[in-house]
Parts: sequence; structure tokens; C-alpha cells
Amino acid sequence: MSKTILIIEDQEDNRRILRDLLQSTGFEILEATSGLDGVALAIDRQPDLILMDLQLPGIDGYEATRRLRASSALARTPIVAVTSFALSGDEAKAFEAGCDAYITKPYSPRALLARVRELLDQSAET
Amino acid sequence: MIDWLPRRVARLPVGIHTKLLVSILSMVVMFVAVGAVGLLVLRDSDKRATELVGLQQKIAAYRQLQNNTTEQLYALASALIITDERQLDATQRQLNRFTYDFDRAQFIAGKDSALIEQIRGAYAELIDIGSEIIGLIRAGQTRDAQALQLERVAPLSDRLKRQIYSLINNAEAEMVSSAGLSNRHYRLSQTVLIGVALSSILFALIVGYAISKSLTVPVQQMYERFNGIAHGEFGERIEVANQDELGELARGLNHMSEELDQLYHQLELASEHKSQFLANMSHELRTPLNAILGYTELISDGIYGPVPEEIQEVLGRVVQNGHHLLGLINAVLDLSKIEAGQLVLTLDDYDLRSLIQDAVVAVEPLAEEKGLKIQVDLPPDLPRGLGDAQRITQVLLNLLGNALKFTETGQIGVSASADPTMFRVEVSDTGPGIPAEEQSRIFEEFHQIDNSSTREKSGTGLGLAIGRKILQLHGGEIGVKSESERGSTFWFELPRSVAQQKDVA
Ligand SMILES: [Mg+2]
Repeated sequence: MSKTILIIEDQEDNRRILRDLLQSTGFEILEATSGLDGVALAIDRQPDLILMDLQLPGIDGYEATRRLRASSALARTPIVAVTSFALSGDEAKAFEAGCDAYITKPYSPRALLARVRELLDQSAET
Repeated sequence: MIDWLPRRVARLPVGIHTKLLVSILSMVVMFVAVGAVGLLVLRDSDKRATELVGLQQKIAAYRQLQNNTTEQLYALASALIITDERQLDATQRQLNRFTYDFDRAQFIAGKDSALIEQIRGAYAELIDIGSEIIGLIRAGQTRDAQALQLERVAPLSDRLKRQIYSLINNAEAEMVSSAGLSNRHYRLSQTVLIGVALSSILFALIVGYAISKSLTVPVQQMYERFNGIAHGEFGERIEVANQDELGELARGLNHMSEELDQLYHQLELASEHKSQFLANMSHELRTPLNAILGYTELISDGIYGPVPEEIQEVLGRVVQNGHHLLGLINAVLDLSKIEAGQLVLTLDDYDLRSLIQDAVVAVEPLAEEKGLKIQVDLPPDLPRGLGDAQRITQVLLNLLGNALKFTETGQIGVSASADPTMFRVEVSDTGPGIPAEEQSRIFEEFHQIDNSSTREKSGTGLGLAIGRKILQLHGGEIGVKSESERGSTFWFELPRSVAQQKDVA
């Protein structure tokens, strides 16, 4: 059974790149364009991994991550922060909110795919 | 009281010039007063002394009178014993001399004149009787003359003697009392003079204290305020009571302080806006670039279908240029942040050894691609440092990247050393080297060696400028020694412990 990945990203192109990349390698994709929708969708569908944009309309990625972590069913789901806001301190803030990985844009789709697989393998082991 | 007076003086609505003039003039007046009192006292003493001298002369004159009287009585008595004509003549002359003595006594007698008048009366009587006795002797009536002498002259002479004594006693008593009075007067004058002098000094001290304090207190306050402004504390006010030039100066200072405060807040706001703008711009520029690079890589990976070889090569160039553009965006952002004073170092403990080793590992693939060897020479006991490890790594990566970029054959060398306060890191290459005239300019923004062979190398021309700023923020410096065709050695030095980042203009 293929793994499900939730993409929470407000920007159309970024969402499409992730979708095209991950669908082509056989993942099932869920999409949300805001923090609140993303949190609702995650609680509803229990994805195997979440790609979280940090700059989102409404509640931001940090807050969405905190809310996801508050739900016991999602407490251990890997969350990857994806951001173009690479200020020093942002990374620490993302980890503090509960992210497992931090990728800055522009990322190499190849590298992102490798990281996603790595995290899925890790969570499958435990 | 000690502060009340200077405050009172400060509040006087007159200028400093007037205050000083008035205070100095009033002191001058006080000193003139001391002088005048002194002169009065002197004149008085002089008058007293003259009076005493007059009294002494008077006593001397009275004593003369006493002597003469004695002589006359003696002459009169002698005339009775030695009755020759010569003696009688002498006695007669003696008697006549009284008038002169009296005139002199009368002249200086003053309040004794009543007594003198009595004495003169007694003398006149004595002269009459004397003349009568001489007449009797001349007539040969010596017995009658003797009788007259015994009966009239003896009591008269007693009275005369008593009166003259009393004259002298009076004069002497007058002198004693006058001397006593003069003494008391002197003491009083002395007290007055000392009193006036002391109060003048006290007055001068108080006026001096009040005036100087009324001037120095606001100056001190203003000095402290200026210090505060120099240390960035704007907006505070000082309360200065002065209504003179200093008061105006203080009002000006307060006004300036307020203006600076407003300006500072405006600048702060502008700086915040700029900071936000930079962050937004970074985001806005990276988002489309991210999409371009992402799609290109997806195409190149064949996700949208097979890609012919020639197109693959072009896609590679798109990705390469996209990354170059990204490098430029990041570099410009870094520079703007540094220039806006917004590049904040994250100061932490770091291990220079591992920073260098990690940086070398990061560029190793590029070195291998070009067949270059990276020779690392680090002392085993390199101490730990305090600074921004991420930014130091940025400098190291830039220097290593440049060395690899410009070197085709030979090797890259990295070495580090530490003295008690500083680290020194050197990155050497066997590349084409940098002409002397270019060496000072390569650390400037957007400067690349103007030469077609190096222009081909992709680079932002900002890496060294940013590296220099990063080192300046650490209180360190960066430099190069190089000879054309002989390779270059870039070096940087930074304090081992950076407790606070430095201001970079
Ligand atoms: Mg976004």
C-alpha cells in the first residue's frame, strides 16, 4: 500500500512541483493551502508524512505544527518544514515547534525525495 | 540654605554678565567700606593722640608756674634777709614776670580758667604785698616788712601753692581719664573694623559660592545629559532653574534631546521597515526562483517524459544560472543586512578545527572533479573559540570555493594557528594569482578581476566583501598576498573570543 503525504503549501507552483515529484514516485498526495485546512485534513486522513510550508496565510507553519503535535494520533508523524525564509534562528524555531527536518527553498527535488524516504523508513522502523 | 541661595541666584532673570558684574561691584563696595571705616578709626586715634599731647603741654606749663611761684616766694624771703639794692631789684623783676606766666597758662587752661583766675587774683595780691615789703625794706623799716611778710605773705603763699597743686592734679586727672577713654575708643574701633572686614569676607564668600554654584550646577547637569546622549539615551530632560544664558542653553539641550529622540524613533521604525522589507524581498525573490529550479529539475529527471540529450544539457545550464542568481540574491541580502546593521552574529562556542574540516569536506567533491588535492594543516591543540560559527564557515567556504574555482593544477592548502588572543587561517592556491594593483580592490563589492579568463568563472563578486564584513563584525580582518602566476594566499585573523559584535560602518 502506497504511503500518503500531506502537502501544506499556499503557493500553487511549489505545491505542483511537490505533487508531480511525489506522485511520479508512487506516493499518494493530499493537499492543503492553509494552516487550518492542513491541520483538519491531517487529523481526518492521518498521512504518513507532512511537508509543511512555514509561511502560510492564517496560522503559520509553526503554529500548525504545534497543533498537529497536540493531537496524539499525529504526535509521531514526520513533519518536514519547507521554507524560503532562511533567517538565522528559524531552523531552531521550527525544531522547537515539533518539525523533524528543515529544508530551505530552493531545494533540489532529488534531495527532498531522498530526505522524505529516509524519514519514512525511520518512522516505519519504530 | 546651602542650595537655596544658588537656586535663588539661578532664578534671577538677568544674564551671567550682569550677575558677575553686580557681585564683583558689591564686593568692591564692601572693601571700600572696610577702607573707609579704617580711615575713620585712624583719624579718631590721631585726634585722641593730639589731645593727650595738649594735656601733657598743659601739665608742663602748670609745673613751670609752680616752679616760678616757688622761686618768687624764695626771692621775697631772701630780700628780707639780704637787704641790698641788687637783691631788691631782682625780686622786683621776679614779681613782674608773673604776668607773662599767667598769660601762657591762661591760653592753654580751658576749663581750668576759673581756678587760674583765682590764682591770678592771689598773685596780684602777692605782687602788691611784695612791692609793699620791698618799699618798706628800702625805707629801712625791716621790722614792718617782716611783720607784713609773716602776717600776709605766709598764708597767701600757702593758698597759692594749694591752688597750683590742685591745677596740676586736675590736669593729671584729665590726662588719665582721657588716656582711658582713648583706650576704650581704640578697642571699639578695632571691633568695628574687624567686624566690618569679617562680614565683607563672609559676604564675598557667600556671593562667590552662590554665583559659582548657580553656574556650575547646570553645567554639570548638561554635561551629564550630553554624556547620556552620547550613550544613546535620548528624550530625557534636565531641570535647570537658571533664567540666564545657561537656562537658555539647557532649554536648547532639552529641545535637541527631544528632537533626537523623535529622530531616533523614526530611524528605528525605518530600520524595522527595512528589515521587514528585506525579509519579504528575500521571500518574494526566492519563491519564483524555487519554482523555476524545481520544474527544471523535474523535467531534467524525466518526470514529465523523456528528455533528449541536447535539451538535458540546456536544462543543466538553466539550473546552473538559477543557482547563480540565487547566490546573488543571498549575497545582496547579506550585504544589505550588514549595511543596515541587521546582520546579528549568533555568538557561541565553536571548534575552529571542525569548522575547517567540515568546510573542506563540503568542497571536496568539487576538488575531486578538478583533480585537485586539498592539503589541511591544523595544529592538534587548536583551542576553541567564541564567535558566529555559521558566518565563519561562510567565509571559509567562500575562500575555499574561490581557490578551487581559480586553480586548474596544483593544490589548495588550508592552515590555522592561534596566538593568545587571535586565530589566523590561511587558504592558499596555485592559481593564476592576483596582480598587486587588484589586491586591495578584490574586497570591494561587485569587484571581479577584469579579465576574460576569470570572468567566465561564476561568482557573485560579493563573497569577499561579505567575508570582510563578517570579519569586521568579529573585530578581525581579511587580506591576501599574491603574485601573478604564483598563486594566492588569502588569510584572515579574528579574535579567539568575541563577546560582542562590533559596529561596522
Ligand atoms: Mg508560503
